[in-house]
Amino acid sequence: MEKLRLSGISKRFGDVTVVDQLNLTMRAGEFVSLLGPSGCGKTTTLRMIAGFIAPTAGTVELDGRRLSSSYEFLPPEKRRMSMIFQSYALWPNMTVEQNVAFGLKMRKVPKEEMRKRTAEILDVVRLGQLASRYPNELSGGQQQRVSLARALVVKPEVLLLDEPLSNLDANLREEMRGEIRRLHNEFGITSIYVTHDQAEAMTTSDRIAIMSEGRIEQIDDPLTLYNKPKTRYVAEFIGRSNILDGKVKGEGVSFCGFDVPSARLKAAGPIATEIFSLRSQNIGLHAARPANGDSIVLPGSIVDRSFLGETWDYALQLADGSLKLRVTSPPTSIFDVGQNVFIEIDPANIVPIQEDKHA
Amino acid sequence: MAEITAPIEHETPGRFAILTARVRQFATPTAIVSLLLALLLVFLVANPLFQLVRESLTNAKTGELTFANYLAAFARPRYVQAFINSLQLGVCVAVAAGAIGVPLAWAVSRTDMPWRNIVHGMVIGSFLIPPFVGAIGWILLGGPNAGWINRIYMAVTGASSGPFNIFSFGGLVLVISLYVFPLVYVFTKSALDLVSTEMEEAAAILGSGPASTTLRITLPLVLPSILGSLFIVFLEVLGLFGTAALIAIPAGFNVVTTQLAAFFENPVRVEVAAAFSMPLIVITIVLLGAQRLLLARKGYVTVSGKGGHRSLMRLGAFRWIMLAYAALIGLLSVVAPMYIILQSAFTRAWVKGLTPDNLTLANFYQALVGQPSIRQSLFNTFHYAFWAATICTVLGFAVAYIARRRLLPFASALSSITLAPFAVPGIVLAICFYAAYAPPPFSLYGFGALIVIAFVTRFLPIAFVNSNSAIQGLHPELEEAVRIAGGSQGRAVWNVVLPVLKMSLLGSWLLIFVIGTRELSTAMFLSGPQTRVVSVLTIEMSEQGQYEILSAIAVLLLLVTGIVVAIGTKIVGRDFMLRRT
Repeated sequence: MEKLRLSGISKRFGDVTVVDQLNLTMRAGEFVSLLGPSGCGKTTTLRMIAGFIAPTAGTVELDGRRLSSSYEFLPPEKRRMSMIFQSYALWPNMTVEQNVAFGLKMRKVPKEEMRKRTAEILDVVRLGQLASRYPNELSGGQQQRVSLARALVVKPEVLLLDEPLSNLDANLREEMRGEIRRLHNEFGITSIYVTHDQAEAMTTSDRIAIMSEGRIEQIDDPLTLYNKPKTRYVAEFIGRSNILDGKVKGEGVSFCGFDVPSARLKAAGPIATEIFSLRSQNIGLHAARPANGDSIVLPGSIVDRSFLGETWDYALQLADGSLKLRVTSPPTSIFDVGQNVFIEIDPANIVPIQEDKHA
Repeated sequence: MAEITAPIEHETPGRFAILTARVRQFATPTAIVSLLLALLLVFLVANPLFQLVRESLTNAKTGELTFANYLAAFARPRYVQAFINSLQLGVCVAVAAGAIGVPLAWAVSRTDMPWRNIVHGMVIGSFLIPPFVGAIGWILLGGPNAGWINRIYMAVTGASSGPFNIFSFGGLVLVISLYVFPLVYVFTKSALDLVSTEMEEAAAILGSGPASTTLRITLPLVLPSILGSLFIVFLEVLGLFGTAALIAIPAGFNVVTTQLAAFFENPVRVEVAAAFSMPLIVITIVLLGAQRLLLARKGYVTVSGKGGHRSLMRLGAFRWIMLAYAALIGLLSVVAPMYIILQSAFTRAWVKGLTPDNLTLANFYQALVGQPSIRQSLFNTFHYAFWAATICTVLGFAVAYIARRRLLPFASALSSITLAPFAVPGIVLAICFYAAYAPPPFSLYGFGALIVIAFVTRFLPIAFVNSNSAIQGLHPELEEAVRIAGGSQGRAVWNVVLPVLKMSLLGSWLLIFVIGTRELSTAMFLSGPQTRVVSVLTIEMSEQGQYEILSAIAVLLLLVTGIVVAIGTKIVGRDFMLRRT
């Protein structure tokens, strides 16, 4: 069932276009992340959904009802949404309980029910003991949970999360993103999550929209996004990619140093591009020439290496000098700089991609 | 460190050796300067305050210890009534100033009211007008018969008398409120400026409309600041002399400050005045303490986190109502009084208004050339303000630096002494200095120096607070880099600290100069015939009804203030005048 639809929304501040004719449709109960570097327009998009910013063009619809367009505008307080802010925005003059109950008070929920629902949600986020504390008496993680409780207790139509974990330290961030996903599974609220952190988006989301310069480059589930990036931008933004140049010649594609039959690239439809993505994890490294199965095996030598803790990052040059590749290997596969090696590539991992539309 | 660790390997040094090592360790140039400074502070702050207490407990004739002065001060109902009047006045003005200052601060800080910059400028404008100048303006506007408001009313309605009398309790409340509300505005606005918009958005997304958000979220968040500013206003009113002398005395009632002045009329009874002023100090200390507590509560200041942005509340048609309110306040506090003062400065008789045969420059001629006493007091005013500002800035910086960098073991005591004058109303400070330095052995009465040192004491806290926050923003590593490169502490101050802080110090100098030119209550009892300042002269000339020359003097004073503030704004930055507290 379709819940939220953004149709061609744009936002211009003077001459600067921050969001450029963006389209997005969400099912009820879906969790979608807007992922991109700072300045890509993701927060502006979120704030247009919330109603803090009016779009310059396009419409925002909830359950088929128009919320924002260039000529009509429903203020945020009438949208029945919730939002988690980067700073949590807990009101320091109110206790945890008063903070959480505020939305219910605005919805004129009867006193008795208000108390019950507030207590329930505080138990859900494991803060029942701290109901009478003030926000500044809580740790960062506890404040975050209060802000989650405050947002969830009103059973919002849509939950908006604006980089909610960016003020937490690394360990807590990992714990909280699990918490956010758990609460989403429990309540099934349609959620939009703005972040610049891949890992957060990957672990929490049903679908991720990669944003760049005010547009969605690609929107897919995390696995598809990783395995089948559609553009150079996405390939380079998510994980590590080698971008290969290749020319389509008859039934095959000719890369620098090797050829692959088109059929083995597993591309849907005919290949109409000259660039391809190859994940650095998807390249095997061997000291001796491996048994040549279906893979492509090429000789080369290690040019540079660095140990990143959980993986090795190797830079290597193919023997014919044509191509440099980055390879990510497990810590146990150790090669010296200057050592001759063989690389192994499964052609199915070479993904045809598009140049960026507005590079 | 070498002296301390070395003896362990050799033999234990004698006590005398340790003592001389200690002395050598502390007898550095820095320490000597610091000690001199401490002595100076005792002279400027501690001794006068001590003399006030001593005076209040001493029989003026016999020099014996006595409580009779307190009896004399509080036995008469008339004197007690002055206290009650002051307290009532303080409460009324605090309420009125709140009603003016809070809405304006909110409108300028959080809403899309048009012309917010102009409204802000108007508030700063009324902040810059010396209260006694505003009071003169209002006497010309609201005097019972000749006042312009009443004459316009009579002209329009044909009535034989006007309804408005500035010489009344209500009139006094109005005039004081119009020039003290900027304090509420400044405190409230700076608190509102710190409230993250996300606080309001969080309420909006949960279903709270603009009005509900303002009342339930925004205002409660800044309530401590508002209450704190009302306390400050209350204290300001309690110690205010000029406006009270100009309006309350003709109206026929006394407040604490005018009563204190009465004790200084012949025969001068300093000891009774000292006793009478004690409750003022107590009230001040209590309220200042309460204000500190309020602002410290619950970590109220909510500086927006990163990504914090601000958006303004849309008021719709209501924004024009807010603007009209701001315009009315601007009219009452700045436009109307200043217009009337300008007009009378250029006329022969202020009641006749702007007619060709009434226009003249004679008032300015009289003020600058014709009457030597006026010229002398104009010169005195700027002369004393210059020296007070200079000494204050140097002292304030020195104390702040020593305290911040802990150059002396008792540095924090030094800063407490420096801040102590905050708790003493100007008029009480004048009594302190009168008691401490007018009689022998100092016999300073009649010398400009007495006024300058009283001003220095009065404004020292401002200079200290300014320097302190500037030094706070300066990383000690800058100086440590000088030391490790072979420079002395003095060189670090001269070559690094002072050049870096010169703008803040200049700002603090200009600020003290401006408020020094208008200081009335501190100068009140300390100025002799040759050492009169403009503010004191104003009170005398108002009693004599010389409003035209008075207006010309006010114009000159405002002109100089305007120029200094313009220079300050240009060099130091907007709003440097607001760094008073």
